[in-house]
Amino acid sequence: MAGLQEIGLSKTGTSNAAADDDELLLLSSPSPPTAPDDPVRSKRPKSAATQRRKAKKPLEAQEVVNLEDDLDLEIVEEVTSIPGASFSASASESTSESGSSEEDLDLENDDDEPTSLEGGKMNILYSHGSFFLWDAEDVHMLREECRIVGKLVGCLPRAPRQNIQLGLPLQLMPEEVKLLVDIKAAAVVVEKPVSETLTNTRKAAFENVRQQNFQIQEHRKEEVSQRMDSIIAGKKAKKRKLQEETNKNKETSESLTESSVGEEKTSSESTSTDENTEKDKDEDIDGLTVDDIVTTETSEEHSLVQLFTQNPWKQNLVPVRDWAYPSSERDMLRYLVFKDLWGKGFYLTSGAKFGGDFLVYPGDPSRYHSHYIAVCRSQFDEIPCLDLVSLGRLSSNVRKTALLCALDRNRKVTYTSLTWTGIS
Amino acid sequence: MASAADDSSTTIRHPLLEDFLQQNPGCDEESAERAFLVYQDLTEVRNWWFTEMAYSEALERPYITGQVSRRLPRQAVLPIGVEERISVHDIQTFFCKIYTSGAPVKSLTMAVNELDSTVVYYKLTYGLSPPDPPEVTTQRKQDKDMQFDRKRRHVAACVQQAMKRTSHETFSKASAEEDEEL
Repeated sequence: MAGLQEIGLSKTGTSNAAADDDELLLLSSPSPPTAPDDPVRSKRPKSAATQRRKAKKPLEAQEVVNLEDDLDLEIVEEVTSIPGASFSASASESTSESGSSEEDLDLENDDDEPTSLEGGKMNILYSHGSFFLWDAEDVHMLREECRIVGKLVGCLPRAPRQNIQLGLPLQLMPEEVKLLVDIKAAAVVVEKPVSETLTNTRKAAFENVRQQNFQIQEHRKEEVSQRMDSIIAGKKAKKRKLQEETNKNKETSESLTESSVGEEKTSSESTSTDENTEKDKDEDIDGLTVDDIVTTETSEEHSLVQLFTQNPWKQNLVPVRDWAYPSSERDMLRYLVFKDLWGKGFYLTSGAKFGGDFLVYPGDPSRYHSHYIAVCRSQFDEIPCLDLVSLGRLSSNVRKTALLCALDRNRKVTYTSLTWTGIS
Repeated sequence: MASAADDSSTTIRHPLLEDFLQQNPGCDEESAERAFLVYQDLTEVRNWWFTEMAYSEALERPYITGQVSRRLPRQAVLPIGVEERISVHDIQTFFCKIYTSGAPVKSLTMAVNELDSTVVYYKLTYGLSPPDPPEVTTQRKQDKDMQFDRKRRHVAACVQQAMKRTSHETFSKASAEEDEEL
């Protein structure tokens, strides 16, 4: 986790030729395979979470993170929690442990040169003409604070074979991005292309991580087999305890059934069968020895692998300065309409589903139905009457109001609502 | 108006339309005819409580003002042919130039009509018109249900009365026959 969230930090960094070595990966630093039940380790995820919280605050962005703890599958699992998940649990944790990690300065601090990316702005990644947000907390914040919804387009790491529920990244419409940039809440950034040598090093490092993961798993298996005796003993003890409890319960229930004469026969039958099956089970556990347990050999090919839910490499992000938007008249119209409706307190999403430009929600789209289908037309654009009829018909069928949006002479947005009268 | 009478020698116009054309000589005859189509639809088919043809000099268009029922306010209905194209700017000018009871309208009903007397009505409102709150929609539904209920009760009462009458008649007839026999 610590290493993965490091990406969040590295976004504040600048291109530094000397730092090329560090630019390798955040995962490559070898970590000795540690025992999974190590008391310190089990606490790690919490501390990592708090670190992450702290790193979000602009002033503490320089905080350097301990890289030694990256290679833990258990920790990585926490990263896989996706946008919907709440981070309230980790927020309430104390920050007592984060202090210790600051001492281990094995990563170079790369905040040498301040850029436009600092100051707590969100980084919106520009890629092939689309805009993406990769940070789950940013996605949350965007919705709660900025009333910007966007659309999740990524595959869920835990449920990769479906596309009903989607996860990060969040794709944003150009209007949404422009608005965020205008209100100075976000910056559009792009990743610098990676050199071939660096790509090769990354490849090597990735192989290395796979190898290490496998080794950790082997180590863990060994450990389990060594402790097999005590594990079996523990299981037996647990079983015995359970059995005693059920016996007690049975005694009380039997005393009850004796009192009710009519049901006596059936209940006694059922208890006898129960006892039989339970006895079988008991024999199973009691007769179990270490030799009975078969441990299969796992090849490296079939070992568990780590799925990264965030880019594990340090990114070299530069702000996009020459983003020409809105360039056309139509883009301008759409943007002004978006901004005006947003300014009225509405939530907006793409209106493609209903043949419009935007869908206008009175509140969070997860709680409300949209009220309007906004259709942007330039003022003198001649609309065929039948188009108006089809628009009105569609919107009344889905219990919405069609909203014709245009700019007037003073570039102010004017609205005209179109509804069915109920006279058929 | 002798020439007009000559023109209409082949087709006979409705007297009301004739009056309207006489009062508004600037009105294009075809658009007047189409407006009259909507007028007839509202008056005869939809049973509006009040309807009246009007003409806007500024727009050079005829329109209709009317009330659905006595309690509801007067509204404007603007006939538009299916083949027409209108822009958002046109709609804005409609809001400025069309008057009902002396004031420009904030909303008007657009009556898209075809020559085969098909008319569909859509309401255009200036600005954002929020959807009805849930209380209003439930109230409307209740009103509708009540109206239907009243109708049903009335019909049922009629049937019952009729039954009583016929049974009484047959009884009286039967008794009369008995009297005759006697």
